[in-house]
Amino acid sequence: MTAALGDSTGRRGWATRWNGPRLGQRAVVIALLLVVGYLIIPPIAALLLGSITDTPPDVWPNFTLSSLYYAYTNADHYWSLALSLIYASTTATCVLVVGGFLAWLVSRTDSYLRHLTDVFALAPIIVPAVLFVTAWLLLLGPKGGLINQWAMQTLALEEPPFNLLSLGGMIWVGILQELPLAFLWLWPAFRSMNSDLEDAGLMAGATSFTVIRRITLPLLRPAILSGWLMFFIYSLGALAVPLMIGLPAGYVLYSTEIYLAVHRVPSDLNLASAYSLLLVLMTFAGVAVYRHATREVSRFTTVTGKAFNPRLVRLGRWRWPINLFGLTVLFLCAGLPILVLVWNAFLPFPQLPSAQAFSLMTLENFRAAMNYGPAIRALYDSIVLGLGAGVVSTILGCIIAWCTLRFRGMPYLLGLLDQLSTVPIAMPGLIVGVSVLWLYLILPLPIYGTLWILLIAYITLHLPYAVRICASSLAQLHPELEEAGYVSGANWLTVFRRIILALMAPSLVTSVLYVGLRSFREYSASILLAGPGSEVFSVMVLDMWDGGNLNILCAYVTVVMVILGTLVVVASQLGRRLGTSLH
Amino acid sequence: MINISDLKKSFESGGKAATVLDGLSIDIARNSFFTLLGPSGCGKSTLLRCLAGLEHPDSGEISIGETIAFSSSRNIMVPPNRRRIGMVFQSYAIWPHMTVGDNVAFPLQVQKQDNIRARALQALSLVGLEGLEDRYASKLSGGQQQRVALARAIVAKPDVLLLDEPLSNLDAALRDQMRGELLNIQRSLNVTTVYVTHDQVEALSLSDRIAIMSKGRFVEIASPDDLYNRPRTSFAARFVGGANIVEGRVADTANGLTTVDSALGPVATTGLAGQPAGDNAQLFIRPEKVVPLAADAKADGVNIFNCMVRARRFAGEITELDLVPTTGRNETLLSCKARSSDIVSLGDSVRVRIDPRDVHVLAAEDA
Repeated sequence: MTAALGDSTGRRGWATRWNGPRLGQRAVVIALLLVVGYLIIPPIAALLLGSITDTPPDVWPNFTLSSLYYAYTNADHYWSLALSLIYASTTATCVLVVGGFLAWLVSRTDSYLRHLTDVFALAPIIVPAVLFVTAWLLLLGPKGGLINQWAMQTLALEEPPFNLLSLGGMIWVGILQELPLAFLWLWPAFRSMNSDLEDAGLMAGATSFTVIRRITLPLLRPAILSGWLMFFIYSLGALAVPLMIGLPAGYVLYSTEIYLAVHRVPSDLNLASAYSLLLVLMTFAGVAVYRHATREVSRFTTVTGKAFNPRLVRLGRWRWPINLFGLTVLFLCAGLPILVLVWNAFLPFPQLPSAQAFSLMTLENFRAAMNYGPAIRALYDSIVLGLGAGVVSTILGCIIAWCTLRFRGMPYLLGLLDQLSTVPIAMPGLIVGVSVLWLYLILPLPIYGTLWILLIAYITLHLPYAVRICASSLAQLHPELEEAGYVSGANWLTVFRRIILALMAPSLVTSVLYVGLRSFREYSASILLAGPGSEVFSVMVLDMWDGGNLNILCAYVTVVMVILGTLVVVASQLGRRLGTSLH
Repeated sequence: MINISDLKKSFESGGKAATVLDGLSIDIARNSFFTLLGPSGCGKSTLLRCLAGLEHPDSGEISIGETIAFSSSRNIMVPPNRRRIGMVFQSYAIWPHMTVGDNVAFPLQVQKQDNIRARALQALSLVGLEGLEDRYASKLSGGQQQRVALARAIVAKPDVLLLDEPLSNLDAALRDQMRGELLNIQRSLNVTTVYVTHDQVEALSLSDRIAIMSKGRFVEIASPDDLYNRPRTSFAARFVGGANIVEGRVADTANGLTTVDSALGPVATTGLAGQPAGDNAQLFIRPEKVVPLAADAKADGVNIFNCMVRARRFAGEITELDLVPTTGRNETLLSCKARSSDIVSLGDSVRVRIDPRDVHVLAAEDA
């Protein structure tokens, strides 16, 4: 169709003027496709190659199915797969139910929780998964767990009442750790749903329960379904809980198997690839199901574009029990883990608060942490990597969002770009780690064992979030704002630079921050890709954990939490200033 | 039918409480069409939502029929789903995940009524949407969505029908058509209706009674005829139909005409009989009652003003003129709707006459 247009106008002689920007746009889209394609397709191909060979990456491949055969005929493999499925589906279901309830409370009721949304947003950022697991081990560990100690002292028990080193313990920590993320996933869905739709149900005579069942839940179906898949796949690929709780408890999960295949001596990357293949297939199936569930987008467009204030349901006498419930959940997700980490940072060994404990308090741990191997350098590297990944992903994400939302006339290219850039959203960090590892052991590019390979992995993993943040911000800008630019005589590059970028500035800051922080806390890919001399923060934490230096670890992460907290506050102030300067 | 007494509501905004409903009291007669008219932000939608039970007033009482729906002193708050009210939202709020038929059948289903399918189809045919029951609402045009919303609101035979600016999202021609259908449906169902709008034409053509609201208070409550022809406040006079408001002092009364000294010069009116000289008076004159005279017309008597045309806007049948009197103080503008056949140009001098019977007196001071 574009070609036909070019012909008919070409004869009239002003074709260059119209085809000029078209060609430019096409070139931009193709360049983006090459970049995004490079980030995703070669690593997956390398992973495939690894699973059907028995040779290490740096030699000429010898094709064989022995790795696949070994991986998928092994009874232990299916046992760990079953365990992983139980762990992941229970966790995903629980976090969505509780997180959805919290999101409803915050956005639709007069509970006190609606003043605390920032805590949900901050908790997962300043308490990365590794720290969260550490904190809960300090609290509920079978030997020295503080809650266990306390319970044994006060109730005169002989045995510790809780044992975190169990399947139940894994699920407990998994749920609490992902809960704020589930809340953050569903909350925007509630906020963008016009509450008139629910009010209309009440006016029709339905009870609040019927309204939730027949109107709210069906309308939120895409968010709920996609959220479940996200958290399911996330839990399947997560490493912190399986490694730190599962392994000592004797539970080998699917992700643990992949990790062990890479890290045993000698490492068996072919077997790791063969294991990973199943997760890749699940990822693609997940993305397909998600696209199927949301294919008729118009049936689920509930955003009217008009600002509205949802009516708040009065909880009445339920208000305080519900507030108490919410505050307890928040305390378990954020307050308690942070408290226990900070408390132990000042003590020579883990112990309950007491007069004696206070007299033992010391800053010695902080000194030790600063002198602990490459701890300081790892922190610095993590911050630089986070910033780098944030900036690059945001630049890419912003251009991709603009192209897919605004360019016309090349549906296949744009559709492909859109699909490719959303694939990593369901890819576990573990898989990205294994496949990127393979690729750069094959390619003659000498970046294995340097920070560059981590940067590439972080950008791959977090590009979809940058695209999402930029796209949702861009969707709120009326196209007429840009059209006014064209009418004034600006070309599309100028329009992008002077209008789009200027209006999106606050969202771009958000995107850099979000991707940066996710990269900072990233763990599953880092642990496979970081080598001696390129350690990052989360790898350091595991190293300290392995060495049993718990109180030094606590001092280290206390410093990190302070730095992260400061960063978030500074950045949100910056974002706010950019936002207000526009009005 | 609907009785509201001393209803108050304020919202918290930026730490300060903004009063939205400032002690409202009113009675709305059974089966009547009652309209809340006012500029945006006057509290009319909030009042409607309080009637629906979607907002919780701070204090006061609302009763619908025999039942008390809200009473702060008796601590009663009937939830919206027990109030037997039908409501059309400004955004229509058609559920996008249900078909048209399911949308309309929903009230009957949740209220456990009989004969659901037949009655849903009947409601759809009443609003002229036969045969569309299996479509998804997102496939409908704005006007059709509006009809679905109306069908859903009336299908369960509610005691009260609430309409929140239902026509404001439609184009002009469709709006006129829907206005007529809305009135027919309301009359045939005989349902007490409360209608919120900022459009005076809708209010005048639909209502039995109109309440004009401003800043959370009722400025004036009257029939459309009284409101247009005999407004008591300058706010109502300006908001409904537009008006020239002239302020002055009573000079004298003779032959049934009272003369008021104003910025226009002396203005004679048939009102104000018996008012003592020196009293303040507020007069209003509808723009269409300011009649330009042909250049050669011989006219003498009262209320003839020499003016200059400062602005001229052609509007089809009529032309709107902004006139500056050359007598009196010349910064005073007089707006005039002249027949378009009376051709005048910008800067022309023109004489206008205002019949003393068209010079009305505003009785009440604005709140």
